[in-house]
Amino acid sequence: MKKILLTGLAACFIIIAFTQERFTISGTIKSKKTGETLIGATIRAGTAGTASNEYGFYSLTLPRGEYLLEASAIGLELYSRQINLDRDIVINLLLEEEAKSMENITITGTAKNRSLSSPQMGVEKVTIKDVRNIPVLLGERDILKTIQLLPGIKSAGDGNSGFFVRGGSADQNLILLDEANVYNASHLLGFFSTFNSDAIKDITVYKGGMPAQYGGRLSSVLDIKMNDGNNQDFSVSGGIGLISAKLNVEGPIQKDKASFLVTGRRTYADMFLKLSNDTILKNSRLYFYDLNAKVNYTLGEKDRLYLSGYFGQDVLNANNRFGINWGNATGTIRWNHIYNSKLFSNTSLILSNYNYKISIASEGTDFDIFSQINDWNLKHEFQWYLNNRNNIRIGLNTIYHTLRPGEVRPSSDKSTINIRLLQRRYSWENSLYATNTWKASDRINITYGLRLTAFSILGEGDYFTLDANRNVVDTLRYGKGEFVKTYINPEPRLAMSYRLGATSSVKGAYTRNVQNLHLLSNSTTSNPTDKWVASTNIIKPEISDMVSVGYYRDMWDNNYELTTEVYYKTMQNQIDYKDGADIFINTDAVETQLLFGRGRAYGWELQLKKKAGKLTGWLSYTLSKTEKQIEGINNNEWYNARQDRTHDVAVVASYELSKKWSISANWVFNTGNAVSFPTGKYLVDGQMAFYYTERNGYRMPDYHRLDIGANWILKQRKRLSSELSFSLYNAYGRQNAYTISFRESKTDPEKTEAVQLALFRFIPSVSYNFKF
Amino acid sequence: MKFQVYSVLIILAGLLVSCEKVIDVDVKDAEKKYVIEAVVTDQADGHYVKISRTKNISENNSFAGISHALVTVSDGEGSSVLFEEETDGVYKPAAFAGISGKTYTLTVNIEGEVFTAVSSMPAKVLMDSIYITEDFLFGEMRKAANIVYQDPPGVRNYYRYIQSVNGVKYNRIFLSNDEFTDGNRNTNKLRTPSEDETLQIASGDTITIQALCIDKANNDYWFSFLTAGATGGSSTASPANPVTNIQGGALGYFSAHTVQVLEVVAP
Repeated sequence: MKKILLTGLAACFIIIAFTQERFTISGTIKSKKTGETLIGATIRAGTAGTASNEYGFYSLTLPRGEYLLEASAIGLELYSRQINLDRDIVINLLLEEEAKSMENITITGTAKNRSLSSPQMGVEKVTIKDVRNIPVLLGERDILKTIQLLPGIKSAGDGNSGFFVRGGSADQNLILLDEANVYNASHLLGFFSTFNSDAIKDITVYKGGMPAQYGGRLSSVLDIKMNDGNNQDFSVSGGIGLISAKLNVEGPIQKDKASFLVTGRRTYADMFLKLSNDTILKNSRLYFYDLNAKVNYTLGEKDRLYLSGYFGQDVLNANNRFGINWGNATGTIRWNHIYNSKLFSNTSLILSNYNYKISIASEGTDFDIFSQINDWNLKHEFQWYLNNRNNIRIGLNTIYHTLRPGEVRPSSDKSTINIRLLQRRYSWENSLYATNTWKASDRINITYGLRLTAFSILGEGDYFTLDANRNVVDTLRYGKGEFVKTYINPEPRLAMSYRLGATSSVKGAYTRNVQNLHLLSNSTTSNPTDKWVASTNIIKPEISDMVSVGYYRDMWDNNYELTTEVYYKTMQNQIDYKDGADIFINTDAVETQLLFGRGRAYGWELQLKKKAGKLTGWLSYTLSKTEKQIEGINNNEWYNARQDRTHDVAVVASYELSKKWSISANWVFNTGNAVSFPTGKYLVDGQMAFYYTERNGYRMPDYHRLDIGANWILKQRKRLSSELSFSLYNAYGRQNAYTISFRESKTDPEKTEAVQLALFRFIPSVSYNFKF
Repeated sequence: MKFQVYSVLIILAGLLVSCEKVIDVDVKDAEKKYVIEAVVTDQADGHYVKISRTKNISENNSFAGISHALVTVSDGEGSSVLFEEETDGVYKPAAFAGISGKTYTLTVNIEGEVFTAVSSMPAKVLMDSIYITEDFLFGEMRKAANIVYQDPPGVRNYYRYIQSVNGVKYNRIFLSNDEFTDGNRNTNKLRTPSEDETLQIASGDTITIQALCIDKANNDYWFSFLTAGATGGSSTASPANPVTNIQGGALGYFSAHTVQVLEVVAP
């Protein structure tokens, strides 16, 4: 019976295929001015439409006929051309810069439709313009700080680049720079992020419903893509701010074919230390730098090669007594190949590295502590534009992880410190995925896919058996390359959209994510020494399941966008720390310090965005709850996770006053994070000690802050443009609690007082940016 | 470490203005718990058991002792010593001296509630010498005591130092162990980041160090005391009470340790 049915179905397909002769238009879409490929540009022919992929490739299959081919992208002129489709054709599209007439400056944004019919939900696109307009601390434009103003994405607090997405912890965000994993995205202990916004082309955040090509983290994907480099003209841009200077150089190596880009940034506050008379300050260092570089080469009509790299380093040293250096390095080689008008492939070889080194010099006990995480990653993917209803992606991904949890070495001949190396941890992560975006009808679009992940823990190394009190009772030694354990997890992904009319749609999604690398951080702030560990026989893969539903509406001629989503998420195998845990440097059996349990998160997100006009910006609101249940904490009952916050509000606005001046402001408000306070006190050894009875039973005070900024365009010519940016961070000087600690009162020793430490108030900054 | 990193950062950046203020926090009251501090040493004196109780945060800082408890310490070989209440909540033995290698059991009975704890007195490692250096610590030049000793190889040793300046005890826990220095001739520097200037070491001060050899359980107690939030600081995301070796639900510790006293006058 089944066989007959299948044969019948196949016959139907063949009939359809033969009744209408179909041809394909394909090609690459680029900016005419810079030669940069355009990601997510809209291409339409008749009633059919598609979007360019992450390399600017598009493919549209249509019945024979005459069509008006139209292409559009944000900030660029609409391209249109009449075509006669009677065979497969390749059309490489070049889009012109939007003509900005000097008299009329009201065109500050394009009222372009967003894709209401795409099943993708929980996605946020941030433009570099958004990043540029938002006033920030010390004028350092910051991608991570910008996305934290979006609904569902929460800042981990002042002086912290970490962010929480829909109840996930900071390590559950997959941060990719040109496909390479960035393990620690913060500079200066979290005050700034590692991404130099000058080198960035595209920023996409998935809060849920992530497509099957992404995997490895529970909560979100932040996919950042670097510019390729202008292949038409040389251009130099740069800026000088209060704490850092940056320079971006790009240009053609061979016009239309090959280009390069180099971007660097360095803070220079420490240069002033050298001028100090104080020898201690003179001998101290505190700076960071970033270097992004990329070259690409078009090998012909069908092949393109990209080589990109990032290197960033933080250096902190106090009078040669104490120092810590840390940094990320990534490298990506990519090869795009167009097999035919319907089949596109990309192959990437990626290296990611993060390490830190602490140096301590003290009276004959001079030593270094070194730790590293290193990935070799190979991806191979096919995008198959089967027909106008089906768009298929199939790929595989294999990553070899090497973790060096901690290595102590003496750093001088006299040092009495012995060499002590914690065992390296090796693992091999393999994933296969397939996904199809299916246009089921004019109103319904469905993306369904599956990602299958096999995580293998490899020797050599010792793996442990623990008793109920988390003591090691047995040690199993594995040889080099021996398989310790393999965890296989299917991750189904499903997303649907239903178009209600021309201006609104509803969407729903279910996503499962699996995470095999876990960050151990028992500190309230992010720390370069936070420790990455892989799943072991005891640490199980973290698994999340999320269901979300949303409503999307474009209003008032697409000038306004309304987005609202609700979600419910469960998380398995969540990690917490037992009382008095020492995770910094311990034995190889780090599991003895950990506890396991589950989590759940749910919430409602609302965003109203104004996209066009003199005034642009958005208002976002999140109502949410995040809880954990860990065996051994709070009597095994559900309790608020640290990142649990009830309300989160952000208002972001930017207003174009004149041709030369624009002003901007953002205001944020959130309920304080959950926090543990002591409920009693006692004396031990003659000093005051505090007694704790529950985890996260209290809340930090509400957080709110206003930042204001202004941009003053000094010159805007073809050869040279320059501007001055001013900002005032925390404009009304709110003392937001960074930490709250308890101590004996300074004024009355009989009393105990709570002391709040606040960081930044009224921080002004000015920076100068130029481009020629 | 974190503290050091931040102090360095804040000093060097010079731009990051931080400010501190006392705030009102409405803290719930908790059920009171007994606190037991019990010490036996290898000396003829220095043994004590102090019993008190926790108080609510809003209460005053006078902690009354708990009287009428029955306190004994046995050595596991049939010999048991009764600790008698000397002053309010402080119990001491008539005559006692601990011996390295023996495991002692503390039993405290407070009106029928029984608490027990076990501690092994480690082998004594003698300190060789003590000297004072001046270093850049916590953003300024400070004098600090350094203690030199030969660590015995092949065994894990845990040390704790109690520092007094001109007879005034520092309220600071100095811990050290040989995890990275096993079998070496080591120097331990006692860093003293204190906001209280009176606790600084000045030329001519007499520095007295009690060097203790403690067992692992007590090392864990003091380590978690320092790192897990008992001191009231808030750098840990999951504050908890120190890991105690006392069974029965009391806070505190029972430590059987050796003691050596060293003294030096600061140059």
